[in-house]
Amino acid sequence: MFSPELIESLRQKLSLLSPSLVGLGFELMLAGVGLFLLLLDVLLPKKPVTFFWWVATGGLLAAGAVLAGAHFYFPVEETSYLLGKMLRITAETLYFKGLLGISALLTLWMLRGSAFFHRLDFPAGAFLFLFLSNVLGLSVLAMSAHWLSVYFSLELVSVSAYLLTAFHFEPRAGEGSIKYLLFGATASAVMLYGLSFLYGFTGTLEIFSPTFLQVPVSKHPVLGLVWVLALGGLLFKMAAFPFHIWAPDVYQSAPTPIVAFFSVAPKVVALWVLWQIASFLYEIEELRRLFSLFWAGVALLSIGLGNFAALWQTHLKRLMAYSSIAQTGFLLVVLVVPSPGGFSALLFYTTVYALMNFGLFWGIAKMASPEETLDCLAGKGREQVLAGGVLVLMAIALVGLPPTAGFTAKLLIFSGLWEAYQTWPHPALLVLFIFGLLNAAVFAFLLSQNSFLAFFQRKKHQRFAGKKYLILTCL
Amino acid sequence: MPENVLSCLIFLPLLGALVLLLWPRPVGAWAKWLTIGLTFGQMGLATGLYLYFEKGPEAPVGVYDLASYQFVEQASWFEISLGRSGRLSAEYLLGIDGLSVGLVLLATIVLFIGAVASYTIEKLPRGYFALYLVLSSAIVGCFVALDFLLFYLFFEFMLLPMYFLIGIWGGERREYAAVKFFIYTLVGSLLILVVMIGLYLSVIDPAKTARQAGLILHEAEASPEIIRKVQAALSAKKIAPENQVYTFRMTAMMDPDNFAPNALLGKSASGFALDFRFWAFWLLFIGFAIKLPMVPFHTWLPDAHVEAPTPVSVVLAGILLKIGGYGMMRLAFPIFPEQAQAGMLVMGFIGVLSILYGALNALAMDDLKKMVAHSSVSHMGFVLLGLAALNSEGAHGAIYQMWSHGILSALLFLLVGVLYDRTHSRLISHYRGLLGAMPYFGFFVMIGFFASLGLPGFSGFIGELFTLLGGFGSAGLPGWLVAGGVLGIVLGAAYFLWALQRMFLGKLWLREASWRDKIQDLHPREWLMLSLLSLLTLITGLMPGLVFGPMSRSVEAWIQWIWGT
Repeated sequence: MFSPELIESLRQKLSLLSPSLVGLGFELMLAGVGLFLLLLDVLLPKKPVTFFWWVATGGLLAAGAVLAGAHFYFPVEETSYLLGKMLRITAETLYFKGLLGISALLTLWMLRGSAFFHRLDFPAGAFLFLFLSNVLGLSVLAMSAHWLSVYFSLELVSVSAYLLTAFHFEPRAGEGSIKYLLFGATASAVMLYGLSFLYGFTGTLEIFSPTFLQVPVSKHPVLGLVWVLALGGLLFKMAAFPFHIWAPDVYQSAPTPIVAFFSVAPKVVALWVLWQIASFLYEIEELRRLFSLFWAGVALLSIGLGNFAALWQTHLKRLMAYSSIAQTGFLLVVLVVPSPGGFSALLFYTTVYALMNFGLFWGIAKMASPEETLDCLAGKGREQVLAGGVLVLMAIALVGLPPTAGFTAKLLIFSGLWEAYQTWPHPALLVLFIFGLLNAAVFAFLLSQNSFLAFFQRKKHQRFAGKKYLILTCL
Repeated sequence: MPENVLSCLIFLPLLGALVLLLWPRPVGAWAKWLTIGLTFGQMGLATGLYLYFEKGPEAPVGVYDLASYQFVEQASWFEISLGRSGRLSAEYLLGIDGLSVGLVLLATIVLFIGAVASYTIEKLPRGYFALYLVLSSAIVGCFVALDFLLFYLFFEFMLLPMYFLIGIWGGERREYAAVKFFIYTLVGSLLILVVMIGLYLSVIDPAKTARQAGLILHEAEASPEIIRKVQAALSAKKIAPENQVYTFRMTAMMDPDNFAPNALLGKSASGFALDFRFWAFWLLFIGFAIKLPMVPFHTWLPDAHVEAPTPVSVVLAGILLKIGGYGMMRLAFPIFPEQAQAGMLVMGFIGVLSILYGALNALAMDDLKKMVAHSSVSHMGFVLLGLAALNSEGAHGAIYQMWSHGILSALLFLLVGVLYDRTHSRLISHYRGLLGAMPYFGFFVMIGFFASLGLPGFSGFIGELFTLLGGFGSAGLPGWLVAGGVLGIVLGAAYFLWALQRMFLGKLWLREASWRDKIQDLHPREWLMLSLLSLLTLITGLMPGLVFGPMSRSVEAWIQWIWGT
């Protein structure tokens, strides 16, 4: 029936597929569990939330085991490509996928303790399906070696994120979700526009294709702009300036565990992709200078805007949104100069950052009352010593005060920046260096207000009045 | 003395804090006794240090030479590879020399007094005493750390306990004061951080670099020849970047030969639009001047003092401010000597400005605690004036003034606390003729006031005398400027004597009649603290050699180092 040649070629294709299957084991498991949950949601007459939760967690753990197995399958020093040249796997990719898996587990754990999750009418199956899809998308994004897979995975992440945002079923949540959708659609259109230009210039969409390095920027000044457009989608996911506008609304309306996840996983994964692109493009001196300045500018504006806008917030999660914009800026500093030392700083910072944010949001989820304003933390530190302690500790780490890992992370990042400045003394780098470090004070002011409210006050409360004065001092 | 006495000094209180925090049941009165005991132990250890510290004309100098520091403890903390651009090494490096030995002793004395004064704290005792113990660790750590990163760690780590101590146990406007304190000092320490990052990425550790480059097998084998060889190779750019081991060690930062050739902060760096060494020096200076505090960065101090509870004020004025002066001596001046020389006039001006401005403010205050706080600004101005003089008398005077002000401000804040505990009012205009009602209290107030205004025989006199002598003898400071400092003494006499006259002399009158029953004379606990401090100011005032003795060699070496002779 089948000719031997066909069978032979099929066998060859299958042997090509098998590393892909191992490499994609994590994603396949996630997809399977997600679909299974959706099926259960339809088939089961009652919706036992705890059962759904266990299925999702168990599935994630099993997927994590497969991921750990992949670690042994793929040699550490080599780069393996999957599905043609769409995806690639390195030791670092596996690390970031591991970080993603841990973030997802922490989110699930936070979900279990959330009140809204246990409401009777809560569609847990659909919710968990969307969440796992989001994780799946991010995981594919982390491996992407092709602009199309970047785009597709970003869309998967975005669509599930729009829906997850709306799961509070309140008008405000709907508003946040719609805003997210609109901004997201714009960002992805911008990205596609940029990609079409890139394709036009080079005839390929493989990210690491040498063709990209051969197009001279000096001849095509528009190329710089094109790159910025193409990276827009990733910047959007990271909530970096100028693609940050969605963050406050989404943070305010989405369920807290999901916000914790949004504040960590997409940023870390997008940063990893950006890092790969940056260190690839930086082989060309011209592009390096251009991009160094671009990242320095984006980082500077994100840090400044995030911190200063946060000063005026009264809503806890809006404040966290702005501070996370600022944190994005700090993360982007590593892109200014991708050096091996910078990479260890990146690994260290992203890991620490994930832990800090989950700790902080866990504390907020534990302590804040439903309206989630700053004032509602008043006196809570005395009632819940553990959560309050964690909150304060994480806040200190986020400011970057020693002896927390947050300080070490910042030290490493800004050391890398100073080194870059020593080899290429461009004023923009110096401005970023000094302004970035000093911004910790603005941030400290913010969070010191927070921990104040949590710890010092009993019932009555008065807001700190010296804000204008402080801002003047800072300026 | 045991080998690791400095580590014991740092970690003893930290251990106590851990015990307090992990204690499963509510802590009882033993918490305060534990704190008093531990700080007493710290004081004992520091006294031992002082006694065993090698003094005299042949004593090792320290300052720029690690080998001649005393009680040195050295261990590798971490060493990581930065890839192509070299390696980074941080050390757990402790040691004292003449600049720090007196301040370590002062710190432990003030902390002990503060612990005794904390006896009356009733609110959240576990948190209070744990934070207090953490604070004492950090303070002592600051004075003995010889690795910049370690120093910075302790320096910043003082911030949070202090912030909570003011913010939770403070007075009415405690939140405002705590945030203000926190932000001001954080900005200061961030400025220091900026310089620290720039510095450590410019400076290599020759011994470790030699090991990395394969010249020797172990860094302990590094002889002076090897070190010179490495330094010569470094400036000739013959050492591969990946073999350069950057270091946080303070003494390495002082040696210009350790700067990498492309380092922006190196001495030979030129051709840049910015003079980086200039800016680095002034950033460090401002960072420490905020702590000191100097006009115009002083405004956090009165707020913090007024709102802080008495023991915290004692620690704040007694020892925290000294870290600003100490940081200038240990870091800013010796690492950037040319910039320090060039900045003498500006620094001297800021010092005198602080003396006068602080004194004028103090004169206008009706709140006794605010008056003492502003007088602190004024008195710390003398420290800066002495340092700016950049000569032997000035530097001796600056350290002595730090010692003296540590004792005296602790004494003064305790005295304010005594009154406030009884009537909950600190306003000068609420009292008259207190001397009759509280004679012993009045006696100690007189000691405190007269010692502070510089009466010969007490320590304040020596400190002010030597800093002014230094100022007048200095080539870089004009006489009229220093004469302004003398005017500060006159103003000091005015506000102290005026306050004394208004509050203590005349016929007894109190704002509220009910206070009459409350103003009992001193308790035994207050007696203990006040007499200890009064004795110290008297003894060191009569025998200044006790303070000058151990520091002399180091101060001479410091001056020589800065003038490059």
